[in-house]
Amino acid sequence: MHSDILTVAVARAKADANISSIVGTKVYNNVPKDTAPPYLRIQWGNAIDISGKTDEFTQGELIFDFWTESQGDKQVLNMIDYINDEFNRTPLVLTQGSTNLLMTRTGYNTFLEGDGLAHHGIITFNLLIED
Amino acid sequence: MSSCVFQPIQACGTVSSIQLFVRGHKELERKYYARNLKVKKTTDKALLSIGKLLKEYATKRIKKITSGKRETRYSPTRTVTVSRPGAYPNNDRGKLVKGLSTTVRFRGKGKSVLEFQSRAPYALDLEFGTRKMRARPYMRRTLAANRKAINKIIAKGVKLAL
Repeated sequence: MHSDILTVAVARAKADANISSIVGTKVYNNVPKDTAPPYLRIQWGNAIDISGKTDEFTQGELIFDFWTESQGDKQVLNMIDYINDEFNRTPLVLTQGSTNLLMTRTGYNTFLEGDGLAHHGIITFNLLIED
Repeated sequence: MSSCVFQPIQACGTVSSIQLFVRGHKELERKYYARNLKVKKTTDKALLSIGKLLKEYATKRIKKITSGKRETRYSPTRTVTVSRPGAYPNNDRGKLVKGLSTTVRFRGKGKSVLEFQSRAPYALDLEFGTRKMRARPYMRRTLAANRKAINKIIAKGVKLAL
């Protein structure tokens, strides 16, 4: 189920026209060494299990990290908008039997990294999944 | 004391509308204002203690050096232990800890907001990670670890205020 979430999220980001207009196919979980920005990294983590009376649920965080150099904050904010439009309140369609019930944005942040070159944008979503 | 009087208005022998006069609303208003002031004072106090709790917790966790790779850094030359990705950052020269601050800001209409921040130049780099370095979140983790204690403080504050 956990790898499924990541696979589906990466595939959906790649399929989105707005997101791919900025990063092309550079949507990764593990970014290959020496990849030039702009690119998008998706991570799934902080998952906890919640037991209901009859069902089991998982709650976790999907984190989108976007880096760019040449276009600055404008491109970072555009990307955050595109990711928000594509993913916020639109649950993932999982393929291995689990159901993503909720997908809600929990926050975003943008900043210029310590090297003074890379503009970094982060947007996080909270997911509730029925196992 | 507040009191109200109903006054039926008759037209052609039937009651067509009712007027309601409320006396003592000035007094009520004063009471509500006093209650609001008390609530605000108490919630501000609660927010301050939450801030203190968060700052102390983060400081303690950063100062507790966890195992990891050892590296040499310069000016001044020193050997530091770099924490593992995802763990709390290790203290080096103390800038991160010194930069931690909590402020209660008033946002009008009785709204107060607690700001928990770090002013170190690399605070965001550590919290969210960079292209070349994995994140070592310390603010979100501190908040998550203290969620229950925060709820308790807020509940106690509201109880006191009411």
